[in-house]
Amino acid sequence: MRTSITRRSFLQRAAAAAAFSIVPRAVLGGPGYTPPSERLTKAVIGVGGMGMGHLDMGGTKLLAVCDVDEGHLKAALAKGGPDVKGYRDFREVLARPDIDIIHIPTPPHWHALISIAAAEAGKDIWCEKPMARTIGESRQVKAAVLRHGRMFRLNTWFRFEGSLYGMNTPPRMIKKAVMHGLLGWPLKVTVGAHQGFNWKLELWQGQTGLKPETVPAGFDYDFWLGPAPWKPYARHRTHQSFRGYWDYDGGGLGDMGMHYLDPVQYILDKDDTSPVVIEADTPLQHPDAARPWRRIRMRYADGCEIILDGDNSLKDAPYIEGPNGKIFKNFKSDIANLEQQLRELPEPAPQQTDFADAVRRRIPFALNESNGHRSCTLVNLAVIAVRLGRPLRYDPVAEQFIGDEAANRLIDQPMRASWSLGT
Amino acid sequence: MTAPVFRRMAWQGLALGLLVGQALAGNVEVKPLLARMPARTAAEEQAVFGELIKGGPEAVQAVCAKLAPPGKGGDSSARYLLGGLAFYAARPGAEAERRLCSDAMLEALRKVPDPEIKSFLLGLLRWCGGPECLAPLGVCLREPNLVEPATQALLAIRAPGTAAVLLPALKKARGNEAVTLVKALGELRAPPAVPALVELAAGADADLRPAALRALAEIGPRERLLWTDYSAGDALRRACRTGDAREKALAANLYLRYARRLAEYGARARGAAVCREVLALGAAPGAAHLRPAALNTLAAVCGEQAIPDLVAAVNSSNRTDSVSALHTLLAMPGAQSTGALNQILASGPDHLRIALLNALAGANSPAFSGAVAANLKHSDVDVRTAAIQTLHGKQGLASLLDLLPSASADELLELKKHILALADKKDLPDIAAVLAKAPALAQVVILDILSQRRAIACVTVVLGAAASADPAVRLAAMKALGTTAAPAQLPQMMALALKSTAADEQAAALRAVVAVAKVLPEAEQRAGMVLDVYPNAPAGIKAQLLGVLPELGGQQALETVTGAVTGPEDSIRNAAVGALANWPDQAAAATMLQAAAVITNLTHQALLLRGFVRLVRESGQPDTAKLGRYQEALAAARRSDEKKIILGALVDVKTLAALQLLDKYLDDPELRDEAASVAVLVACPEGNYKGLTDPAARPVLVRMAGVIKDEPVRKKVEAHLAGIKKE
Repeated sequence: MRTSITRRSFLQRAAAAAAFSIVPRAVLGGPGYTPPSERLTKAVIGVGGMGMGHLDMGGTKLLAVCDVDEGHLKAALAKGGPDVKGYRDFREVLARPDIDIIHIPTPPHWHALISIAAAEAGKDIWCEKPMARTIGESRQVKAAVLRHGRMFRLNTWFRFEGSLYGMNTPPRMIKKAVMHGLLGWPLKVTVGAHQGFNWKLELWQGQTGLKPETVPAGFDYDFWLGPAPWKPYARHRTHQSFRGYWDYDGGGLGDMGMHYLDPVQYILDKDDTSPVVIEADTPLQHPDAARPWRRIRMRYADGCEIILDGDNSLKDAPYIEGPNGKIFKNFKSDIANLEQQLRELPEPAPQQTDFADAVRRRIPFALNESNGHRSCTLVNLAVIAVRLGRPLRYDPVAEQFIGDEAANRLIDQPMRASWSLGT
Repeated sequence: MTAPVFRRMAWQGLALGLLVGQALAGNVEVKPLLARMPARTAAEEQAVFGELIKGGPEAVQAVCAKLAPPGKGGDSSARYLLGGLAFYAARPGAEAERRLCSDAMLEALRKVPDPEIKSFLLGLLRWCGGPECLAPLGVCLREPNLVEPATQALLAIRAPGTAAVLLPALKKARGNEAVTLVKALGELRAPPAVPALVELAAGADADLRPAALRALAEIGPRERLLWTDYSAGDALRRACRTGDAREKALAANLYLRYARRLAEYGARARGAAVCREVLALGAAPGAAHLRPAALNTLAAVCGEQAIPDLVAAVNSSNRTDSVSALHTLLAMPGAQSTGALNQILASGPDHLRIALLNALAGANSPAFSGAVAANLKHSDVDVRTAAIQTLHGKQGLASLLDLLPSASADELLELKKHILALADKKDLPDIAAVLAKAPALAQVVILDILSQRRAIACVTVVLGAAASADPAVRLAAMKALGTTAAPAQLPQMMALALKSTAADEQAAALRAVVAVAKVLPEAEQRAGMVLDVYPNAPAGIKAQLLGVLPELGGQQALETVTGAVTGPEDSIRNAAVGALANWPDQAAAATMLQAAAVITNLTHQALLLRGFVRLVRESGQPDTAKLGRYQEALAAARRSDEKKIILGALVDVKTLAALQLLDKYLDDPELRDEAASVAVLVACPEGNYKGLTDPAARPVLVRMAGVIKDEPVRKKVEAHLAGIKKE
């Protein structure tokens, strides 16, 4: 089954292509300019943990690093070398005209805010997953990136590169089986530890009853909190363990959700929609600290389902199944000669997988602001269902929950004074 | 009165309140409910919430009274209960319960002294609060610490009259509190706030200024009785020209938001004027990034009326504007924009054509198909490559195939990618048919496509290509045979392999033979083709034939390999030893060990012993049997290197006998370290493995402890030793 492109999706695509609107000066060439391949430059904002990995990413020249923790900043400067300048305030980085790409490996409560500010400053953006902490935030990132004509990529890659965890095959192969109808329709995808996907739910748990501690010297805790509600400092709320707190992330869902769910969205061809029913089986969640959950079920309007197996209780489930067949871990299948059949079928459409090239040629990256918003919505729908503990109905066009005011209040969440999502 | 004394008194009061609250909590004891927190299932939590609500507002307040400031006591159960309750009570169709909870929380908010607890309660009201909260939360706005959480709750609730509560508070607020209120008035789009915001937007407070501008942009024009107040726009216009570059850029972006508000209000011409103003501001040094948003907003504000502006920008000498306008045009539906874009494809400069073609990739729009087709023949290779990306369907595939014979190397890669995405099984003969008219480089690409697609129906064409005069084509064809040929073609393939003089072609042909032969069910059948030609094959190819036999398998193949191990020619001996050492199944184990025991070439012996150890490890035999095989291998090994490999394999045999075997090597200066480190893994606990606890292991462990130099490892051994009984 090859999906035809509708007028609507064409216009969306065209809108995404409007991201061509500003080509960096360095890219356009002309007298006095060095070739673009030598000129793409970057800054990394947030250089603790994941951030250090971003210093070497993308084949671009690092000019600046930024962090609110002096220790992180020192380490990044030492690694970055003498040409790299350090900053405490990301706004100063965005004001530098010589930087093309902004990497954002901060904790997730900063992702949307810095992404939008970067777009407004005329920068292209390489953002860590999850794209944003709420549905409203990722929606606004998408709008800002398109409005300002920027290139955007999320730092997860399983829809276009490498093996998909326990499947030992790229998702392209599974998509092929789906798009050519080998499994039938509708489809059910089960994502869990048994298939090789570790949600890290135990690892990213928040703690309750934390005692206030003294903020370490050199760490600007108030700036670290930024848009998040003020809470007394406790080490566990911050570096390395912040994912366990709803104010900053969504537990294991926040960390691994986009890694595991974005390929599912790609495989099911759901890049421009979202599920309509979301249910979670979970113990009661703390209002501040994330805890493990057991299972989340999301159903699309056409009957396709995604099951998130949090307690590894679906040991016999295939990764993907339809009326005509199943695919299990390690790409095993009950479909005779699946791999041979797939080799004889057309490939899914090629994807733009080199971000530097996307920036130079102004072609939307494979995982960009538009489909990234939808896959981040999967994560945030799951988070809301877990927090509320009741079945939810969602309108994927209006991007609102149907008949549940409390759920809708979790779509857009306020930011502290001095912080707003862009202009 | 000092603050600590006041706090102590407040806490005493709260404790008293708690007792009273407990007593008044209807018939519901909250303590047992708290003890059931956190509930494990939805049913459990609903039962708890139901009981709590049954106890009325007093019960909810009694739980609120259990809250403590951070670090002042364990209130996790209360926070679990209240957090869950707020969401539960706000479920659809439970207005009475929501109201009960909201009222109870408001009452608790009134009583509780600690700002952090108040803040927590306000956070709960964000989820379950309703219009009844307006006045009580308005009171909270008088407390600086509570302005933020109270405002956020009010914003979540959005009751009518919220702005009227926020606006008076703004007059008294300072610093962050004022920023919070200003932001909220903007989010609520509260026109009455405009005069105050205009004043703040021109004020000296660097935090308030941008917040006020943002709010003004959100609110837009303000409708009065007889006229429209555009003072928000005036303030934004002034700000675009005041302050440093960052402030100006911020104001300009906000001014564009204001333009959208003007359009919503119906003042499209004014909105367009704002966009053009910002466009002009974008001409200043360092402000170019404003122009895309200005053009984008102009299109959003004016629709098709913006097309002349966009076309003018497309044709401007400024390439940034030009490309930006192009893509804004592309995002606009309608015949006018389509016409303008087709014109660019027909006569625009190359960089614009490329930009547009890149953007059209994946769109499959028939409106551009004619112009795209023309660009497939453009003189510039980058334009042609960009055009390739836009092709779709059968017609697109036909165009791609037409391009193959004349494509450059770069284009060929692009073509291959897109042909693979468009062609299905039925199209493969059409692709193969291009081979005859294509130059060598294109033939290589076509053969690769046929190979990737397992084009069995095209095997005759592939076999023909294997006889090509061009070596690159021959090599590609040999490789492609591996996926396109069937067992019926094996004799022809073997003939090609034997005939070939180039090593890479010969290797590729043999790999193809193996790939095809593997589909045969019987091992003897699989290897038959190779074994048939082996005796009379030239010496050069014999070695290669031996190399593929392990993959084909079978007793006869194994005997052929074994026989060649002691053959007269070095190259054949080397290949035979390699093949035997790589033999995949257990049938070769005994032969391997026998050969290793007698062979004089130490390299060969090493290869065979390593192969033998691999087979024993994979054998699934009981530990006793494995140990026996390793002992045999140790007896055969002549060098320490091989002995170390065999000792290392003992790590899988976690038995006393294995430990005792390792013990024998603790006195050997060359093997002592290896034996000791493996013995640690055999004897000591690790993860779920509990280690050897047989008293007979003690003497070995004692000796190990004397040998091991690494202190942590030695301590591990000693610790384990301490837990083993003496015999």
